[in-house]
Amino acid sequence: MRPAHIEMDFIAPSRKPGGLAVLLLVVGLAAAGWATWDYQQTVDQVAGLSLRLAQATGTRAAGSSAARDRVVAEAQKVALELQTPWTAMLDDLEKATASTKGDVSLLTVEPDRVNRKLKLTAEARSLPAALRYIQRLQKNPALHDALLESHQIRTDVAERPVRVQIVANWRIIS
Amino acid sequence: MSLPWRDEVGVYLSPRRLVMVRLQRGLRPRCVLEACFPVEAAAPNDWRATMNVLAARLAEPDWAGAGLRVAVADHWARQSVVPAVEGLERTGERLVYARHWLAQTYGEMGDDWQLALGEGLPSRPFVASALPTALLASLQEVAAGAGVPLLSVKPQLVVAYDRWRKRLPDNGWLVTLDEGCLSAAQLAPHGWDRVHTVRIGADWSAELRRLRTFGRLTVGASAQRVFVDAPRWLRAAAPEVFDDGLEWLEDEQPQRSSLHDVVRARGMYA
Repeated sequence: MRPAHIEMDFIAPSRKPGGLAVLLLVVGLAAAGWATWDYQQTVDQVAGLSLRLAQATGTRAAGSSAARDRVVAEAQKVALELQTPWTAMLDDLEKATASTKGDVSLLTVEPDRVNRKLKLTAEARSLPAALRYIQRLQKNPALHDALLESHQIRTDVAERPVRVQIVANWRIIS
Repeated sequence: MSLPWRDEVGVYLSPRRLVMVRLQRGLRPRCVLEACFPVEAAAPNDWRATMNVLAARLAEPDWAGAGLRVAVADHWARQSVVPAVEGLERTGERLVYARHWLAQTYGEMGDDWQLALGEGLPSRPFVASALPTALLASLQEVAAGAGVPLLSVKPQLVVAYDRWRKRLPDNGWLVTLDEGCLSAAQLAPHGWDRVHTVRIGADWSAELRRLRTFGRLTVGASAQRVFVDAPRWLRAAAPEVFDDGLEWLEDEQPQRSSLHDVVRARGMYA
């Protein structure tokens, strides 16, 4: 076993740091500063990325919500379209018009899908012919409650035809 | 601010010789210069002649610009192992007690002597050394005059112990020998148990026989090993003594500490 070390010196250890100590201190402080700066940069970067992520997620949510609304609207539209008994209605209109033997001409057909109404514009040789046409419509299975909304007699034409606006409801035939 | 890798000059100050080594520091310190200068001293106690030689050498470019570490020959040192005293914990109290203890051995010691204490536990005996205050002041002046820092000043026995400690057991004797002076420390696990310094004359054989008796100084007279740090020429002067149970400490390999290298150089040149 070795005898213990004896530390003795007539020159007291200098309290003043040596060059190497100062150099190490400077390097240490620089390293600590760089580490702090790098850490702050990383924190800022993470915060920025989080913010961007949140924004992207929110935009996507908002966008998807609007798109969903659009899709729903389109789906509803399609559903309504699909629920509209066009074939039956057109078949009824064709039969009703044909039954007038030329006294009534159907000019326009405007569907109101939301209210399930059908607005018709027709021109008849006379008002009684128009009324008979309406009565005929009222008997059709697809259309019901056909009503004369308005009528207008054209005086600028020699035959004095009557233009009528007819509104009818339709029903879904299962 | 000092340079991180300033060179160091290790110095052995003795009445007859000045040994100097220059160590280039760095990751692998190496000795780049070593020399031994004779001193014409008027008397063994006269350290001023050696100091003048040192001042002159430090003015030379070869030795300039390096921090100084100095080993002072035991001729000029007073040393003792101070017994532990309960309650002496402050350095100031230990200094006063050590001064009192040294005075019992060497006579009254006033401000002419400056003390240094070996650090240790309060419950353990501690080593106390004293050097002339004027010698230390002169060293400071020489260093300041050369524009170099004085890094360390230690007695030769302490320097030799530090150099050889890893080779020493925790019992036995460490002896340092120089022309006109012999110092011996009895080794113990905590450091030293006792220390003796004696002046020796021109009759080297007689003094070396006295040196051999250090091996029988211990209680129980068991054969304790004696390790000797001495200039090479002393061994050559009385080989029969060194061949009679004394163990010679020498190392020709350069050391990585300037003071340790001074021990090597002193062994070769002084």
